Amino acid sequence: MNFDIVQRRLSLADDVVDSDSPMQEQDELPMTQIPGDSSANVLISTQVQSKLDEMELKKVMKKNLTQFAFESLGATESAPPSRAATPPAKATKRKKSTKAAGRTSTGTGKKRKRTPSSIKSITQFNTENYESLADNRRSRHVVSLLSGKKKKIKDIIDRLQVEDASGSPGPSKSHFSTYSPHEWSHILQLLKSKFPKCPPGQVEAVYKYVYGGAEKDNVWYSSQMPPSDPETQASQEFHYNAQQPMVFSLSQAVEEEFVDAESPALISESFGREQMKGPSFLDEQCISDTTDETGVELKIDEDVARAFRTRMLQPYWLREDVKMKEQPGVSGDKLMKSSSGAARPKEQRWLHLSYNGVDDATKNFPKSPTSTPEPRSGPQVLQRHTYRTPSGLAGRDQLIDLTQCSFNAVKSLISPLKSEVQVPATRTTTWNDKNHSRPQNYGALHQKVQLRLCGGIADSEIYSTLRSRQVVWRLQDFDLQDSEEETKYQLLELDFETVDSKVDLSTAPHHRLSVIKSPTSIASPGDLCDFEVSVKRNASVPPSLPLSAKNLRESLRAIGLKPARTRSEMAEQMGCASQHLIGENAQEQRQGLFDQFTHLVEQSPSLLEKVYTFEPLVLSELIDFLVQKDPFIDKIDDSTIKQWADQMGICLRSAAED
Amino acid sequence: MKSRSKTKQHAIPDFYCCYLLRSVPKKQSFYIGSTPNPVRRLRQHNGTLANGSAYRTKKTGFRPWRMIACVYGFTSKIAALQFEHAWQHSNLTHFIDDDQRIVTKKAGGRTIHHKLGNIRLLIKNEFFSYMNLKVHLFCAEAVDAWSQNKFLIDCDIPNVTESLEPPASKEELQKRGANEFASENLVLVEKLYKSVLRADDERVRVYQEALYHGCITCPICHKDFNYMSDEDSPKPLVAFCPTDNCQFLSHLSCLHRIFVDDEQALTGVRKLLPHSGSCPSCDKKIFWTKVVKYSTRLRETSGPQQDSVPSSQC
Repeated sequence: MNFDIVQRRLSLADDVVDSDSPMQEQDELPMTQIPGDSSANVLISTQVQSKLDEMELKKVMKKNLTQFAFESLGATESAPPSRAATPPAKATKRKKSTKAAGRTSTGTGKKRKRTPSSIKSITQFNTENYESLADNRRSRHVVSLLSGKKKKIKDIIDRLQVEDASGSPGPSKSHFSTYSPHEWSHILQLLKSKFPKCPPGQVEAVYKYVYGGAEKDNVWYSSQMPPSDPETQASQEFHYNAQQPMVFSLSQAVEEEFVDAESPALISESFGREQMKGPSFLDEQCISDTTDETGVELKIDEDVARAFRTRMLQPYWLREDVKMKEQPGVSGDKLMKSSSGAARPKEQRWLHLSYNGVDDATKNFPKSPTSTPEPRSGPQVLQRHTYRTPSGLAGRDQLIDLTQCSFNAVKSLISPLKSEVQVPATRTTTWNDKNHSRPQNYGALHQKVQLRLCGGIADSEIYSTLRSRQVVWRLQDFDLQDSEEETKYQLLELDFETVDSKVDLSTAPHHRLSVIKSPTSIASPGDLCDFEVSVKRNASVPPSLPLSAKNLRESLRAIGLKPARTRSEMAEQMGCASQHLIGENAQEQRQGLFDQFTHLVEQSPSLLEKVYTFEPLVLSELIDFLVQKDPFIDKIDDSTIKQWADQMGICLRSAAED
Repeated sequence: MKSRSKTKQHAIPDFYCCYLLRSVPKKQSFYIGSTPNPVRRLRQHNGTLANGSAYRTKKTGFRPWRMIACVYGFTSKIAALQFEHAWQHSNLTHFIDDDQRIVTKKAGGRTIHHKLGNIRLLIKNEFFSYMNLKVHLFCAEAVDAWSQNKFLIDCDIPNVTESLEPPASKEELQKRGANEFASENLVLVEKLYKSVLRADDERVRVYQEALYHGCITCPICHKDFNYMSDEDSPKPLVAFCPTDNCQFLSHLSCLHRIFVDDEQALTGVRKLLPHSGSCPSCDKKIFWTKVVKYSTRLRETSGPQQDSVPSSQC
């Protein structure tokens, strides 16, 4: 009947062989199909699988027996079971029984119905395939019981049945990619034409990085190699120094070869900005933007190079990159492009990579202690110590971000309180630290800043320009020795105390100190910059509070302010609250608010009289009065005022009508 | 809108109470209300007076009503209304802490123990604690329930008084009709009411006489005030020591400052309202509410309105 028509149509549409070949195709159906959406097909645990296997065996047995019993029927029925027997052996996690059942159901009786999902006449279908359907159902039931999932199993079975019916999808499912190599090349052409040209050297470098290059590019391998020419090595270092990202992993620290195509994200904006500012004096030595692989060799003045290097050094202290310590190469021969690279990070990268392409031999240099640092002279800026404004305050260096709980105008991403090395990868100041165990107080805190000393720097410079108050220098006892570093250094502790004592510079040890940089400096190299560390003001919210909107809202509510809808409003409220209120937690602040109200009322004799004569006061009028005296009270919620009135024995009433 | 030449000055009402009624025929039915004149109000409830009875007490099977408890001493009508509302909705009121509530559900708390227990809870609240409220019980059962303090609420109210009808045997009670029962109760209520009023009136008279002397110097700030002058300037509030035989008289504000300072010295907290203090003259403990009551009363009576005795408000 119409099944034939359907089938014919389907065959035309699918371009699939007639009903016989699907049987064979089932054989070829790669049981090791890579599951497209693997989660759908991969379901069954081993226990369930074993049960299934048993059932399968039983069924096979049955079929085989029936084969003998009824020749005519068995012929058609046996064929699929025999085939069904083989696939289970191969399949790892499959619903074999259901698949077999599906196959039998489709194989029995008349011509196969292609897509069970498009059921023309259900009753007919069901009656004809009763047994197989029953098996199907049974096995499905069992499996769903064992696995506990009904819908998923149903989906899987349905899909299997569909696949069986259509018969084709086997090979198509096992691809990894949808394009042929020819297509890929075409795509590549398109990309090449559309996107800005990268030098082949760069592409190659990226490729090598991603997919692994020659052995000598391997980091480990290269670390085993003997040190190369110190000159080139140094120059390389210098080059790399110029473009190091702010944050990098240990492997990156070890690895000399910065394929910055992968790590641009690590370069913070501010760093980029700084680099943008770049040493202006080097701009005149800018190189052209040629993309020759051979590169351009520039001779660079040693002093200039050194100066440049000091400018472009890592702004974060206590970082273990060694390269900072070492002198840039003296000879300018191999120094290339590094200076110009300062102008644009991207260009740097490019230049760097092109350089790579040129000189493979010198590319790999381990962090070998054998490389001797050049003798230094004069003030060397080795310490990177910039107080960097958190990116949230970009452009508003002097502003205090009041939403960030504490009122430190600390501009560093690194908490000065923590003694261990920190990776300032966060956007907010880590000042708001949970680990901050120091007793919170109203006044300023000790702020300890650890500086690394390196030799070769005049110490007088550093003291003279300290603008922060109450600084005490103290030498740390331990001697941190970075294995990768050449120079010894010691740690100094810089204490900012709250006591209004004069800065006693004489107490500072006579060590050579490094210069502290501040981001606002435009100093020429070697110059000293001031850094400002302001002390902490009253923290209205304990710094351990996470700054989620929910927490903000709760703390504001605890204090007694009006609820705010948006986060910006809440931030504003918090800001105002911290300006006005003194208190370590919400409780105290609330009490402070109450005291303020009391104080205001006391100052007005008429109002006070009303209060102590038990006269009921109109709430709105009372609030108006308070707000008039202190505008901050406008932000306070009404319920807070009511609570205060209850405590004070003030009777409140609504606006009188008579 | 009433048109008045001048809004009435605030004064602590002579008598304002919140009361608890119990139906005589239906012993489980209670009613809570507030009034400045309990006698009149009770008669209204019982239908003796023509109009003014509440809807709930109008129901046929419930009359007559007896007043079994009464809380008085409120410093303003609004305070009394707030108390009444809190008492009626003791499951929701913010005057009672959630963990101390004895009535937690809307449909619960209908026994006399609950009703009386709520009095304790409310009086415990610091807002009402300033007012020095007094409780008066009118029947033995109430007294029993109160002293039992079933919910063991930690609040000692030294001002619990009682007045009971003469004890009668059960047969006699049955013989008397409900109405008689109620009327006896009314008598008791009236007694209480009158006594409070009378006491206050006496005092005020004495104080007024003291004020007739004209120009008086405040012993605290040493400034003069004169209640007898004909100037239109508002008279300052004055404070009398309510203790018998003590003639202390000063500005209310001055005394207030002293009391507040004393309390701050004691508790460390500076409040706006003192609970009590010691008279600078006789050194006895005097309650602030009493002082203010007389003070405002005197201002009222000596004001331009010249009401000799402020009539009880409706």
